Amino acid sequence: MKASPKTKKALAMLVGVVFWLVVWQVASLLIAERLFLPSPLDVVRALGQLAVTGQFWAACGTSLLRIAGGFVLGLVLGALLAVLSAAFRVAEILISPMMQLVRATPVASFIILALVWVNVRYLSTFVSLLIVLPVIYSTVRSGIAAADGQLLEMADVFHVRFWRRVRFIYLPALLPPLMGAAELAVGMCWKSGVAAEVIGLPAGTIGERLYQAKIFLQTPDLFAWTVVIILLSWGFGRLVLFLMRFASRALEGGAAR
Amino acid sequence: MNAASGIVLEHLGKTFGGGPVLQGFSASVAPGEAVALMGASGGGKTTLARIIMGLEKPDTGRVLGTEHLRFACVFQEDRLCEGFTAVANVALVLPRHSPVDVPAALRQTGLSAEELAKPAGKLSGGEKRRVALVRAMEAPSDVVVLDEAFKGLDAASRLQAYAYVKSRLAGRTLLLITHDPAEAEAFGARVVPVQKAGGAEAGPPPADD
Repeated sequence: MKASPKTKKALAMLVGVVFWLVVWQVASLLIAERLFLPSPLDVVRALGQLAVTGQFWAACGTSLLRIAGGFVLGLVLGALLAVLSAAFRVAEILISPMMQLVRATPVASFIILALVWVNVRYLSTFVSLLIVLPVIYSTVRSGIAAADGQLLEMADVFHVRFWRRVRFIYLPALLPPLMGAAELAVGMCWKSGVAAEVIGLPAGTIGERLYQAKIFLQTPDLFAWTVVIILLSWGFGRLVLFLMRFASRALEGGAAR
Repeated sequence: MNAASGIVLEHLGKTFGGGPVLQGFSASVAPGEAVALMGASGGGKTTLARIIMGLEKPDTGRVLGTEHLRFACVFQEDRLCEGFTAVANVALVLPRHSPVDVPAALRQTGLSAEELAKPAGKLSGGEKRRVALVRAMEAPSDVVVLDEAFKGLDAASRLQAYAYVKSRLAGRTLLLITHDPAEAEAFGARVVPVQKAGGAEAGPPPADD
């Protein structure tokens, strides 16, 4: 039986992952210093030890809620500002330079400013919001501008109502690039959100635990937390894409009435 | 002449980058009349229809009697929402509680149940054309504009489509844009020649207001 392209892709990925795990294992054996480079098995063991503690799950939950919250806020606010910009030229004149400024500002500057402006508990939410905002804004704005002019003209002739235009013309043009942008933004907001937690050290978060692992030279824990961040970022990204694909299918599934 | 007495086109002129497309074009269309705008390609027929529907502004002249008219149109392009089914594409232009049986209307043009369930993007050229035709005919309107609407249909489908359009016209004004005299004849349409920037005066002369 021939393997499907999906299976082949998964197998290729697995081969790549196994190769680098072997390289890592060999390198850790050669270095033979757990504090400098723990082996994959050391990391799995550390992860196992962490996973049986309530603090581990509490930290994961807290960071997930705050960073995902920032992502959702950035998504909603970015989309709203883009719609405003598309509808009113004045809004675009005011909003567009602000978005460019936010996009160009280094994450470290945001984190330090946020430490001054907001409660440390909301630091990662604030930072991930600011990271996501310009990405979503520019994607939605370009998506609206790229909506099919001939379809919009057809809608004008037939007096198609606003919400039907959104559903039938704008969203189909918008969702594919938005999915790509959201996937990119999820990764960015986790990286910057955890970086903010490491700098601001809000209690009971992944960033705080990562920092503690570093200062107590618990290198296997440092790696274990890094694995957790990658998994959470990947899982959250999958969830966002799943919800967007679901919305897209639901959108195309029904009739206009 | 007021809206109730039809559409009046007075000395219409339109120039695009490549030069004048329409020049001094005048014509009138009575309510419920079928008119075929005929002429060579690039002669300004589509531009004229777009001016009548309010999609283009004439450089000179004016259009009277269209202020309160509702238009439905089959454009030269299908202009379908490709991710949505044929049924959804037609339902898009209908009022919320429209009594129109959309699947039945689509089947009347020869589309099968299987084709009705496909996204419009996956239909053939002729099938898309029929969906665009049903959308225009089922939408509430006073004037139906068919711009090369039967292009791409084979002879049998074309006759089926003619019969469907006639059955659904219900006294509405019909503006046909075509190269095909047989098409004008099939609808008993009065032929109005449209020529590029030489100006064809056709139909009864516009009344002064």
